[in-house]
Amino acid sequence: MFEEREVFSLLLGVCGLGFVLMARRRIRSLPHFGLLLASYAALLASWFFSVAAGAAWEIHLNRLQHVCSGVGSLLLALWSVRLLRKPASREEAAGES
Amino acid sequence: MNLETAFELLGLGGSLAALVCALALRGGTLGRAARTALVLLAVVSTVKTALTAWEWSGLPSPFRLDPVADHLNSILPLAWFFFLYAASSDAAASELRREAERLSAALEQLRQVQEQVLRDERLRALGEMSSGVAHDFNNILTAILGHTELLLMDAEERGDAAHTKPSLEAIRAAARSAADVVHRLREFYRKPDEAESGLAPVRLADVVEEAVRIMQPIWQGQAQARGAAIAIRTDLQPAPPVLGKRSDFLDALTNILMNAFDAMPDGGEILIRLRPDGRDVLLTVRDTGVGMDDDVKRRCLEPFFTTKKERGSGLGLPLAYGVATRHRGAIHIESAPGRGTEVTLVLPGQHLWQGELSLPDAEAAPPRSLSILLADDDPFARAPVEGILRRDGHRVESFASGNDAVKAFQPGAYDVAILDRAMPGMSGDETAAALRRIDGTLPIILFTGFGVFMKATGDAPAHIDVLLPKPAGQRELRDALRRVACHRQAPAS
Repeated sequence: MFEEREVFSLLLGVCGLGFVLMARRRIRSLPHFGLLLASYAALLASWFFSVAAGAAWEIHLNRLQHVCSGVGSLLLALWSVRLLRKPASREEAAGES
Repeated sequence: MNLETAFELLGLGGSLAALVCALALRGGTLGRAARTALVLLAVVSTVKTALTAWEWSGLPSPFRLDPVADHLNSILPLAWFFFLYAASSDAAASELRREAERLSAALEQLRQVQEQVLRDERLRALGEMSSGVAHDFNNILTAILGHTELLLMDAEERGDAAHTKPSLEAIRAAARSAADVVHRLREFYRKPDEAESGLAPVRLADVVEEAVRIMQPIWQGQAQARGAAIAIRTDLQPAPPVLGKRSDFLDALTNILMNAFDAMPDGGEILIRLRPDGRDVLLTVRDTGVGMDDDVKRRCLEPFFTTKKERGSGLGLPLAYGVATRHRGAIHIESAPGRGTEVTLVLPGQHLWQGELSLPDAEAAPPRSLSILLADDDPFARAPVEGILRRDGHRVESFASGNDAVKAFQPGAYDVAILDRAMPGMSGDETAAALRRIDGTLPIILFTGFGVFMKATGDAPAHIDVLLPKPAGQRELRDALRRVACHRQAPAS
């Protein structure tokens, strides 16, 4: 059985993916942008599995949803750590100040 | 612990790490908005995974966890969306900032190039104007000088030299002095000329020491008279020699030093620095004087531009500029009102130049009686030259145009042709070409008011053996005839 909240989350996630595709040229300039996208994709998959679990293989898909959610959070952490270790360029630091 | 709890705990660890990193990020790759959105995302993710893990662990809780976790799970995509939007906006802003900086740098470069082009264009225009004036002036001086020399010779023959000779010699001296003024104009446009005497490797440190030795007594005297004190410091680092004329460098440096001295009416300090810079040698003169505003700085290399009123000729810095460019170098001027001036001569370290074809030594061939064809449309310039040549024992046939000269010309009838360049109808160049077609070995002298400039620019026409600049008297004509005679003999030897 489908849960409205889960369907809503999936729809929002797909909209977010659409935005990423539209703004890919700008988002590509973010450092380690592949990791960030992988994190988002993992979370999108978790939202998808949570919806799909309402239709079939509830236990397995639910488990997959938790796996994807955990992996997504880990990838986000990894991206943040790499971002922290990247030295700021002079112009960006100047722009920030 | 079941698999779901394990992965939720893993996710909790990741979210917490992301939160810590997001809080630790300081002005760098991400802007403020994106960092805030990342913190929000990490907080939502952390709380959501914490609640889910708690729920799946089966531990007791004071309230129902699953509705809150579900709400946070709904918010999570929104948090992601905000973060991605903020990050992409930051990236765009950063790109725009970099683009603006690049444009700003390009604009500054363009402005500098534009100033340089305008300055070069002004100097080129002045050069062309000077060239035209010099041509007419040289033609006039040729007539004055030539007739004066004829009168001097007549005076000797008539025996009244005692009365007329001093005046005639004064006229001749004045004419030669005027020719020198015209000749000095070429200094601004002259190209590197290896054939000229005096080109040699020059140690600029020696030049600096000599310039200071020459200038110091002048400074001291004038500064004391004004009640001011001027200190001179030198910082001479070992530098490669520069190929050129020592006197040129000395002229340039003394002129720059003189400007520095004049810029410090209340005293100050002059620093002369010599240092190598890659293959170049930099000679810098820095003063603590009144400096120049932008307008003066822009015009200071123009000939005859001066801020010293009647005390200045406006030729000091242009001369230094001419010396620098002639030696394949450049001149850089940094100045601001009240902050002094720094003039830097950038000169290439010693290397070879492609010089113009050198002519044989004029003294090697003695003058002899020659049969000369002379073509000049200006009777005032033609008559004295003809007179001087006849006095020297040459047979001269003169023509008022190139056409007449070519019509009358017979192969073997003349030893040498002297042609004015700017003649109506057939020009000197065309006449030379026509004569050479008839007699391929005929030596040809091009006698022209543009002579110094043609030499300066290396503009040597075909079929011409010797370029003789106007004005020219007996000495210069004899010299040119010796050269062509020698030139004709050279291939045979």
